[in-house]
Amino acid sequence: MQSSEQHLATVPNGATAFVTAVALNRATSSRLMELGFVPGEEVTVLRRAPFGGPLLCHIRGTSIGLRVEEAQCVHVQTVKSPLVVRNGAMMNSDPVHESSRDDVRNPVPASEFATH
Amino acid sequence: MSASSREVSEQQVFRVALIGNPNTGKSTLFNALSGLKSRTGNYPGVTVEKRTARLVWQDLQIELIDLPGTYSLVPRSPDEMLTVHTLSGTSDHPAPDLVICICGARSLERSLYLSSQVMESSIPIVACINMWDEVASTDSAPNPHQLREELGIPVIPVSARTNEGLTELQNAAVHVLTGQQSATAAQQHFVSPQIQEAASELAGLLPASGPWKTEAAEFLSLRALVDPGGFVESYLTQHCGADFLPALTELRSSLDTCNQPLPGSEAVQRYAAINQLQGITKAHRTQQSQDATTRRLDAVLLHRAMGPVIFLAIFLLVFSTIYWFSAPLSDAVETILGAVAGQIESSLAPGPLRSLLVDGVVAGAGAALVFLPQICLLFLFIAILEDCGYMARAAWLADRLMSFAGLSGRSFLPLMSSFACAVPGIMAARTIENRRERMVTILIAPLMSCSARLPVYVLLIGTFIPANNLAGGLLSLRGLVLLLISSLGLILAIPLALLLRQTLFRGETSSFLLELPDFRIPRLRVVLQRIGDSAWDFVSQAGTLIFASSVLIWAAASYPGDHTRQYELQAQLEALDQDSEPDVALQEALQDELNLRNAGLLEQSLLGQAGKVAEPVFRPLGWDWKIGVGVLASFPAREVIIASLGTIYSLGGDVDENDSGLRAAMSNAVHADGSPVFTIPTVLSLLVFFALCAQCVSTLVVIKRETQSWTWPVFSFCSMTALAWGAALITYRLASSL
Repeated sequence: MQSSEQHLATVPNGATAFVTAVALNRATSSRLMELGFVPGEEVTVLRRAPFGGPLLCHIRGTSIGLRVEEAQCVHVQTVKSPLVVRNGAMMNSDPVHESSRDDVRNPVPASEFATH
Repeated sequence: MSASSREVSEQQVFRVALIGNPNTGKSTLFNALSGLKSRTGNYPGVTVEKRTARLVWQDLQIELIDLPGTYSLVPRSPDEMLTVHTLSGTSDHPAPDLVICICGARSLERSLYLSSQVMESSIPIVACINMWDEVASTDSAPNPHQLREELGIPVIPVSARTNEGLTELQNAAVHVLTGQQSATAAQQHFVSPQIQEAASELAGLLPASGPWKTEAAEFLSLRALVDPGGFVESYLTQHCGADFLPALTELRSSLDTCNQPLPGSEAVQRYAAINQLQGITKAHRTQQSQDATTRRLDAVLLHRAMGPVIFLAIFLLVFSTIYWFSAPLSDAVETILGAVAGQIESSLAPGPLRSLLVDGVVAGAGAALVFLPQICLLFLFIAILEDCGYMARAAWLADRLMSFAGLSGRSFLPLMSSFACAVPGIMAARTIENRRERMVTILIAPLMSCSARLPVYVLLIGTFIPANNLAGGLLSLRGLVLLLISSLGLILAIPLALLLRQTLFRGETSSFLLELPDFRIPRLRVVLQRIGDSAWDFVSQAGTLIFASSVLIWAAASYPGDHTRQYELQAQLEALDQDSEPDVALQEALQDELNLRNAGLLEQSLLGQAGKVAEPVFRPLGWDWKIGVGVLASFPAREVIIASLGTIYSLGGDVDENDSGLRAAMSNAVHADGSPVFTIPTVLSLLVFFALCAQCVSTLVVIKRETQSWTWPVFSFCSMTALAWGAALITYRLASSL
């Protein structure tokens, strides 16, 4: 983990960043990762509560409120680097799949749903 | 699980568990499937207890179990450990025959994270994608067919709110239970083979005598392996030999976790595997914008300046409305019970039985039922705020404030609920992960001004505080006093919570992580169900207790004593009432004698004697023995003081806080030297005492249940009574010196 990296608490409102690492120095850090704060993930800071209150972030389709202390555990960078994804993920994460995913977009037609 | 058809005996009951993230409509689905009442809400962590329902699906006997919502099987609270216990099977929680994993259509990856952990438990699984109607027509809709192939389990799109897809879900469940369809997870690995091998090796060390079912050994081993020092590790250590923990540690250190310490590496691996699933569309993965309506509403409701103002306005409105509307509704309840009492009085001659029925039974029922309107109104608001999604936002806005007390926004709902009644509030504290925060929340919850205190406040304020208007008629002095006394507990709770966090519950700073659901229109059915549930809970639990204690107080206030002359006088008075031209002078003389006789009887009674013995304790607070009797009698439930004051002031127990007779009797009460008992300082000290005391058996019983120890209810009672007495003394002295 490089100390020169930004963390989520420094990302301005409305800006988007990419998670590079999560420091596991707090009890809630692993919960953050379970909620989807894993390396490579895109996260948007929506707003901040007044008087230094919690942040509101959007990640993986959900809005999540978290305190500044928790946001400081989430290291981010503003540009997406595929290298980070592969470092963080040990599975056969393959950038080719990433691009081919467009082709499999195949939502179920509404007619197929609940016809009984 | 084999794919061959299974013989199903007629008596066999299949256990089907629902599991899912908070906010995926799990409770709604449970309700839709069972038709049973289960509390639901647009707020994470509404299911605080395991709920079950008995159903029949295509001739199969089903026991449906609703497990608490969780994000993962790395338990952080006893509530979440319950899910692991259920999946691995224990004597108290036998393993289900089928698990239905509920996934949110908008947050499928997070849902599949949990589902992938459940898949490792060797229990057959059916996944359903709930809230399908919200995504069906968009390009972010996932592909259930593709997911079914990739995961090897049935994946059913459903919409629990509109009951769509439920039949398909039931069919899929039945097919799996009868063995007609396979629900074995495909050879899809969500964690590295290395971790899986280590888990197999560890499973070999688990004794066969453990409370878990044999097939769950590998699942439990995996759960223990990835969570150093966690709940599962200590659970297994309890049941294994001394060589288990060293073996676990050694296996763990041999794992190559790619610079990501456990348990973080589990998350990295699982999400990497989920990213490979082709059934989730690219549009779903990249959806970075919120729902448009939610975004617009949040821009106002969570605005830096407007947000807190709206927050305050909403809760001010809620409490004002409860205060304004509950009085006429409570009056209606009183009128009905008054008619019942009148009926009894006209058909029975004065005597012990009539006294028991009117002053004991009907008065007791009245003492309990007058709260019903307030409780229904409060839960109407809580249900609306929860279901529309504002409650989670209120927690987000309140988090900074709560952090000053060493708590988090998560404590907001339990404390907020405690304004209705501390009992559901204390139960809701189970969703707080941090044990110390949970304990502090439980201990300060009874300080919140619950609805049972309201009648006491209304009676005392309405009788003794002048009806002056302030700020040009915008505010009434009575309203202001009511607001101050209602917030007293809250104001004192902050330093007390901080004190507890720095003494008895030192340690780890609090944290806050909360999902804010999209806004939606509250559903009438959910709101009504919630009101019905809370009303029933109150009547069946607190209501019966209040009723019973009212009858006991009547007995303690009536006996020992000779009531012969009292009944004679009552009969004479009633006979006079029948005359067309009653002798007013005689009537008054008889009434005066009766009142005197009543007061004498009370003084001789058990309760009166107890009040006199305890008078030295109450004297510094400016109370006479009658108030002391009222306070002693209200130990089971503080609202009982209204009924007991009614009895003490010779009016019978069938009075409420708006009763003019009780108000007049209290205004006219004098000490032996002729000075009035209820001076402003006395009234204020009584108000402060009732704001802070722990006069509620139900609350103490629930604290015992939630903390699994008698220490904390005893601690609560002693400390709150001491606090109430001290604060009442200070109030009396200060007010007297003004």
